[in-house]
Amino acid sequence: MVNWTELSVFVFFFLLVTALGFIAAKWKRGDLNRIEEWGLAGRRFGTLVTWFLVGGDFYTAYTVIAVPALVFGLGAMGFFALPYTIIVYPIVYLTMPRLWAVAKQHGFVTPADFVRGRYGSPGLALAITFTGILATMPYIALQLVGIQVVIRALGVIGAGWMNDLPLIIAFVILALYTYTSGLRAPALIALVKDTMIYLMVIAAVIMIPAALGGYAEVFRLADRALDAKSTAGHLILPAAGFSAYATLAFGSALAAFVYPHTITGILSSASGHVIKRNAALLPAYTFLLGLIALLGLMAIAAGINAPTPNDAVPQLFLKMFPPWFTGFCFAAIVIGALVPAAIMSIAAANLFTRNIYREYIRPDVSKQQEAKVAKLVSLVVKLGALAFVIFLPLQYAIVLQLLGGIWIVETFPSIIFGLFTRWLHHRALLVGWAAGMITGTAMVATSGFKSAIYTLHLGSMSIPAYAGVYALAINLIVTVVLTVIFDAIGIKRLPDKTRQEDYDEDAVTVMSADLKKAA
Amino acid sequence: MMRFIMRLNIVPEASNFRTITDSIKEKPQKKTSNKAWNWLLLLPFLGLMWPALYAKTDPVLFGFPFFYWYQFVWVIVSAILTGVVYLATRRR
Repeated sequence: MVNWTELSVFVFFFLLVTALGFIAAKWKRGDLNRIEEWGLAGRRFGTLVTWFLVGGDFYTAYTVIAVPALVFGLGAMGFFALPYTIIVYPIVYLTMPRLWAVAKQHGFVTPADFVRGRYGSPGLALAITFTGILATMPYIALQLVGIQVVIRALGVIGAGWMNDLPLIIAFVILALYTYTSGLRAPALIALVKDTMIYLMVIAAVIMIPAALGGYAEVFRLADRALDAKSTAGHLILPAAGFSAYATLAFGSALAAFVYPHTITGILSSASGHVIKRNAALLPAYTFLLGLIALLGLMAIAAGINAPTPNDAVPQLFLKMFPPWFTGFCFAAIVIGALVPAAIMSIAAANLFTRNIYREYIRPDVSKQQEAKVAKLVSLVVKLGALAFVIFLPLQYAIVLQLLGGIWIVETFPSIIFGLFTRWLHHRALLVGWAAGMITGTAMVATSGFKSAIYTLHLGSMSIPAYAGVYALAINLIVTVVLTVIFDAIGIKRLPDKTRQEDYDEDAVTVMSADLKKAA
Repeated sequence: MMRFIMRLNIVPEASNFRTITDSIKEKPQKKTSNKAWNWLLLLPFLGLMWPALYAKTDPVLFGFPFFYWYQFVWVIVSAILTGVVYLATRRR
């Protein structure tokens, strides 16, 4: 049955952001026929816009659905999202201003651009590009899952291919305004989306516990329901889960800001200071995410009977909220999927254009052609994600996204260590990357591609931990050992285009200011 | 003129960039930045990467078991720490 009130409110907000998406082309005006303008909005975003943009990009709709779904299914283990998104910011603070500075100085648009410039190795840059695109594609597909879940909850169910029609419409609109406005579209929409999500969560964490008899009652009911469940769920993390919990948080935090889409958000900011301020301000979203995770416990306490864990939050809203506010929340979730999907497709398009098309297909490509290719590729990427979700079982996207996290963290040594030192040999990094990719995938395969937790047996000890962390450890050992060997046998190192002072965000910022003054 | 400057921005090899950065480097810059403050950023890792520290029910606060409110408190503490490090190491 179609829920008409919800649907009307939902459609109103969807149309509002669609209009914004197209208007965005005129915001902070620049020549959208250049990839730095289309794909990085001219590196001009200040503290507030960057806060909304990175917040909207990093805390995706899938997160809003999947984190409470995990808590709904597993209890405390799902809460690892909180330590993960806490410790990610010290890492961002220490590393990302350096990446921003060197990228600004050399006109780098993608992480692979940086690796290419730093190590001079096309092979290593290609590995970074390949991993980035591979990890991003299923992530885009999963944003669609957020949309699907909401459409299902709205009661819009057609027969056969008509079932996918609302999803196709939403995505075609998204593809069009991303094509015309580039990164400006998700940045402007993020302002609306995040305001809506904040309102949604604040209302939820006040109204729902009040209706259920207070937080103490929510925890008590959730505890009882989790204990009664046949699956292993706990309100308080049991000792057996400690190593998995900590490594999931740590590994995810390392992976978070080597994803191409988060780096796109970082590179579009106006200075290193903007990034540092945001490292202190973005935890507001982490607090929000923690509250969202609690929705999983509330759904258990409210006795929600969801067809899949992903339906827990939409079903909770339908049960607890008045229809008009449910429509508002559903619109927030769907718009929350469009923002990261747009940035991810832009990031993937930038990677393809800069590091495959310009590097291997048309080295003499003009600025205009470069931007044109990026725009077209962003369309192709989104159509690919759409086809993925429509034609393949949902489980494929979930498994690939799980693997994507493990794959992308293998680019951490090349990108992040590269910001501080050139000691590692580019060939060693490449072999280490391959070793991490293969062993990480193999570890997940031992669970039948069901779990990212791999149990290492050392004598009588068995340590379950996030496969991404194990694979990264192997990657690092191989890289360090081979660096020593390759240098000893004299395998030639390639020229480094960057200089030490290029990494100092203050010098780079002062320089831009001086240039402005000169103008 | 603005267009010209914008063009400069995407041509990093432009000689102006080198000379300007060099001149900044050579200026006797007063280094008030103190990297030791960065060690504060290690605290969130110490507080959170050892779940044995906080995987318990008591003490309960506002109905929240310790496991939950402890991690929420760290969100605020780590944000403050990052802010402190930023303000203390900022070069003017």
